[in-house]
Amino acid sequence: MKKILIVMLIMSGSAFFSLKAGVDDVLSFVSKKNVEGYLKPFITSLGVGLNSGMYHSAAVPDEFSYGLKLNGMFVLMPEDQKTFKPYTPEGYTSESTATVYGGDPGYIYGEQGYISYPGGFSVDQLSLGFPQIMLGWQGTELTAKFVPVLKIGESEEEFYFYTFALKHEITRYFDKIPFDGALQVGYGKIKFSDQLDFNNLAVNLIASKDFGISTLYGGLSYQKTNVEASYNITGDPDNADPDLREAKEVNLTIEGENGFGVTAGAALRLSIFVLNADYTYNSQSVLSAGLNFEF
Amino acid sequence: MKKIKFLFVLTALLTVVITAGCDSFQDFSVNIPFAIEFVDSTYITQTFDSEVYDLGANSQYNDYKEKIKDFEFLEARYFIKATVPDTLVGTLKFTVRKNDNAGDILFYKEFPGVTVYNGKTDIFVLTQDQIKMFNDYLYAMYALSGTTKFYGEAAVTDLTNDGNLKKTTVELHLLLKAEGEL
Repeated sequence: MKKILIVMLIMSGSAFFSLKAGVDDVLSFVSKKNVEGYLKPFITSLGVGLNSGMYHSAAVPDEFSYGLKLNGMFVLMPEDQKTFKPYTPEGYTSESTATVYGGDPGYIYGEQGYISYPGGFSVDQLSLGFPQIMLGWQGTELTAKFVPVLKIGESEEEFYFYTFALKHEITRYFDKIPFDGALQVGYGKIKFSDQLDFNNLAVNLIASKDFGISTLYGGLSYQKTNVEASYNITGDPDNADPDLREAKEVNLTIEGENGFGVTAGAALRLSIFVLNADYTYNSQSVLSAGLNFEF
Repeated sequence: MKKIKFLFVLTALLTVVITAGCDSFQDFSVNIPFAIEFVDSTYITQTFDSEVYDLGANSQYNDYKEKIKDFEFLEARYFIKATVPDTLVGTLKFTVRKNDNAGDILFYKEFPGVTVYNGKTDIFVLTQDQIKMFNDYLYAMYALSGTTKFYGEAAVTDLTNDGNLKKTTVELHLLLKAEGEL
């Protein structure tokens, strides 16, 4: 059991490692001024992904409860997040080029020659899977998903991630309100050595109404996502872009484009099993489905 | 309490972060630009210069060469960087060969009766056969460990023989597209 656990954890860390290494490779010839436009949709995806599937009801029972949820989601990429207008040096005119989710690499021509931008990975949707646990008591519920600290790769880079959210049922203090209402605040972090520090703050205002074995639920959310990242520019003295002529390490903070979102969904309870599905409208919309075991 | 501990272990065990998402971040595509500069001066009717460019010395190519699965010609242009006097009228001729001056011609282009001045540029329109030949050369480069060198010539002919100094600095700009797996 312990060995399987270690293998699975290393696999999840390695997956992230390969993703980070891939993006790092592509950024070798992207200036600091353009990396934000290139990566912003990806930062947004991590934010909406971590905040999705965090609830399927506003109600939290008074007595102690716990559960496990297997949550899968598709983050859908809007077309307008597949391109961006890059910064260009003097003597060049900016034209749209691919973001990390776009297609062919773009280029422009000017007096110093061609300036090229990396292509995207032609991503229409991102599928994410996060199991999570819930612990509830006295109208308050803790939801968590996490990976403990791992050492990944030959260089033993440190990787961990977690998201914790606290939900409190507000309508328990009021009589004659025909639905359940709750406020949920969540914080998430993905840390990969000193190169990537991703933070996500989410506030969800939730309402739900039970109809026998089914529940209709919805929510308004506000998310703030940012990542502090560092990467290396290889440096090419002959590059037409002056920002790419010297080898250097680049450090920057990129804000996601998350903001406000709206969620609508339904859940079906069968004994200890709860099936739920919802749709979140945000700058990147998310289809989410979950299988919950609740005790 | 045992059940809660079990839940924590199970959650960690089942955590497979960014599953299919990671597979999406494998195939990459980048453009690799390079430039060859030609400089010459004359008091009579023609300037001429030749250069050998080694793509193996291009840091961007070196960064990706191990991962390239497909490599193709995308676009080529010339750009006049300087002239003496400010304008010249003549015929611009460009030749790009494989490897060195004895290599097969990848393309030859001629622009007759052109007014040459600082900032003048034009695109090379290659035939399908020329593009195929170029792409075959690139394929040999990364897949068969062939030579990474290009030989280029630039000439301005049919200049007026007025006894004055005539000088041109012209760059040949090429753009290649590489696709591969990270």
